[in-house]
Amino acid sequence: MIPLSYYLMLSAVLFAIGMGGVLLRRNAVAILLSVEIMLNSANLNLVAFSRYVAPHEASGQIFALFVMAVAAAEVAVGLALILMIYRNLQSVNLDQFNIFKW
Amino acid sequence: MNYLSLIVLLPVLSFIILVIFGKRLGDKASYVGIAAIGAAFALSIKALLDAIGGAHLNVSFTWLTVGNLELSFGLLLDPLAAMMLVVVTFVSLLVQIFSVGYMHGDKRYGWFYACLSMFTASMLLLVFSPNFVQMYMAWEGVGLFSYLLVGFWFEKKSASDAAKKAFMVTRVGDLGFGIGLILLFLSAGTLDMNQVFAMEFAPETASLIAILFFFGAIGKSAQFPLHVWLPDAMEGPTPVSALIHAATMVAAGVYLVARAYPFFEQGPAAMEFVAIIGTITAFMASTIALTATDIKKILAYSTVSQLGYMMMGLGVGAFAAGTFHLMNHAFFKALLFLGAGSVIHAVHSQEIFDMGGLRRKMKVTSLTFIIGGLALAGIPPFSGFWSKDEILLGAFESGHMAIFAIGLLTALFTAFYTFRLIFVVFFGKPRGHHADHVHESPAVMSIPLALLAVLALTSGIIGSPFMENAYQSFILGGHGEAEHHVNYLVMGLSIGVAVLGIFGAWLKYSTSLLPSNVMSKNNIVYKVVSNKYYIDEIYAFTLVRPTHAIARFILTFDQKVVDGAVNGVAWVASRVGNGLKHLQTGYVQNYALVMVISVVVLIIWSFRALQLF
Amino acid sequence: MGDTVSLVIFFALAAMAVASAIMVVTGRNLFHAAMFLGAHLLSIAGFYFLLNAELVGILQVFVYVGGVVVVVLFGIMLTAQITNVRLTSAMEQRWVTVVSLIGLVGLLAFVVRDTVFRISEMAPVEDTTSFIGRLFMTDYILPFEVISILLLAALIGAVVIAREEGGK
Repeated sequence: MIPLSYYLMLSAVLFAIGMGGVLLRRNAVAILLSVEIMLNSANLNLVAFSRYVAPHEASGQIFALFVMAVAAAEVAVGLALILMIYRNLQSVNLDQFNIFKW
Repeated sequence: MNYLSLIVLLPVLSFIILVIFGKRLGDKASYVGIAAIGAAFALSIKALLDAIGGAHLNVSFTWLTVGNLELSFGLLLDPLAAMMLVVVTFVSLLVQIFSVGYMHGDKRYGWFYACLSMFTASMLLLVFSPNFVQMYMAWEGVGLFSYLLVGFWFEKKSASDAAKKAFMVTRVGDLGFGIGLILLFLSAGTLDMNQVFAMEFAPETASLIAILFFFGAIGKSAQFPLHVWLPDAMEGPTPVSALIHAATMVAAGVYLVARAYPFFEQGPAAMEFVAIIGTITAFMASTIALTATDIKKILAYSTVSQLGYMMMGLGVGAFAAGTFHLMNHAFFKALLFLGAGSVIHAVHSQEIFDMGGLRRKMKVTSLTFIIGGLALAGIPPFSGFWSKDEILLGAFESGHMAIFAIGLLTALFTAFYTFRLIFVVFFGKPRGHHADHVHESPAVMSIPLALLAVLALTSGIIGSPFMENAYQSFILGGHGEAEHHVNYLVMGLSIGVAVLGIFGAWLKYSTSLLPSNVMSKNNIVYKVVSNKYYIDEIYAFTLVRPTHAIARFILTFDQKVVDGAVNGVAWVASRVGNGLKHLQTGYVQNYALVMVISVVVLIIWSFRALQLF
Repeated sequence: MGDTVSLVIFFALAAMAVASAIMVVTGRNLFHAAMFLGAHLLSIAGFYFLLNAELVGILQVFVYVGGVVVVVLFGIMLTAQITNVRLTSAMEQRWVTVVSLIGLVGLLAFVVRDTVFRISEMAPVEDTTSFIGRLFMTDYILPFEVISILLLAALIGAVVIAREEGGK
């Protein structure tokens, strides 16, 4: 069997990559994509644990399904927001959203 | 005996009403004040009758207990207090009636009557004090209202300066009084008069306490060297001068010495001190009055001088004589001041050489003023003679010959400057710009003058041999023997000296028999005397300037260091804020990065705490 | 299937997942980035199958690749910034970010290495679809209902937010 730690390390790396995208990209939609990567890495973690630690229960998989549903909802709302911002500011570049700057 | 408390409470009530409704009442404010003080006067007469009948009362109720010290408020009625009550309420009543005319139209009319009422209440509280704490509090109260009334026309800088000077100089004396209270408490454990006077003190302790109390009297009663505030206090309205600086507040110092007399009796050194200070004051002030030209200043120095006489009397052991003079002086000095007010009201000037020949047009004022002047000069049968003669008698018979001689000389000067004033103002040719429109004052101002003149004529009789020294017996109330003999030598000398003084003044100012410049104005003696012995200048140089320098230093310190520190804190906060604001970039990704870093740091930290590293 | 085969499949999928993730995060063309996201999601689905989580894998394909990516594509087309999307944010937090992320991964690696996991020997669930389906209707019925309400809320919310002013 593939050691559990391999899955966990993979999920950690994917999480980091996703976070890098969130912190570094300028385009709002691109950030949304990066968030999806992060969510999926968490899902991977959950399912891996479920398979190795309690395979007779499927609780990790159920958890992952819920995460998936929430992620889908979040994407929908997030895109709606981006559309509104685009309508008002003609841009979705994050460096232009700095009203709270001192 | 609840009516006694009303004597104090009625003027307080008047004060409260006038403070709240004064503006709305306008001219009617005087009714409130006069009604209250009139009622207080009536009750004081009753109190006097009770005291004559032998009633003696001392009630207190405890107000505050601090450790071993019990502070109480109370009412003491004995002959001395009864006499003072009548004097204070009567003069206060007449002054308030007089002020209806004198202060008419003043924009702070209501406040004037409020202050007069509350001043009277404080003075009455002082008179009633059965313990020294209440006396001290009332003492401060009269000082406060003196300040407010002297500075009544505070828009004038000289008036507000005079008020400050009065308060500060008397404060110096009050310091001595306060230290005396502390010393008394440490020695006796109580400040109640009944208890304290039942104790015996070592002569040194008693002397020290007495002298410290006397410092308070030096301040309040304008004795040398703290007399400097009284002439300046003439900046206040003349009714104020009549009430406070002739008849009542300045008498508070004499009253204190009289009340604390057992201490003086147990400490003879203190008595000597009182006599000496009193004599110096009496002499010095009378000489200055010889050269003064402002009618109120002449009367002010005269007051200082007569207060010196009272202290002289108390100091040589003539308790009855000193307090007798207090009563007589209150009446005739108030009369003289109110008369001066009447004159000032008519002539619109205070310089005596702007006045002249006023007796033709101001008959009532002239007549009453002359009566007051005769009382002041000490001519029998006017009141001043009987008490002044008793004081000189006391000095003579107790062996204080130097004091006696100086007292006689002072009497000479007193008569001289008094009639100098009278001849210049009321006789001779009219001088000054207003000579044509001079007219007698309205009845509301003349009637008090007349009443006081009657008293100036008669109040001395009750202490004279004609009534067998009834006053003395009354006032001593069993504490001592009243003198019943007559010393014709002393009497003759005092009358002679008074007549001589009047004659000299007549010669100089009413006739041209003497050259007009008997003493050249450039004479060194004249210069020193007419400049009040330069005492004010000495004080200004030695005390006032260093105080100002210290005050300036403290101001700079406060502004630079204290304010600097406070502003500095604000400055630091501002700089820090200025620096920290750069954290608020407005970019969500910056914030997210901070969160990530924080999480990493927290995990590392907790791992270390859990000792996983 | 032997262990070796599983290992090979694992690494292949891993490579694809990491590579496509990197392409999403660094893609200059937004449309391409969305496509790479799709690829990434497919590889994750592959992992699910490897882990005997068939239902999750199928739903991953349907929901994510079929739904989310399509919605994202709509979003991209509506915001009309497809090419020449600059990579990084204007703020120069590149290096700090990289360092802290490396730190994070290092930390997680440390945790993974030092933890002793209780690996169970039991057999995995055979038919995950019916198993999970039954569980949704029994043990997890409350979360199931709540998630439907959440989805309803998100749906209404998105419509309300994005509609034209004054329009329907």
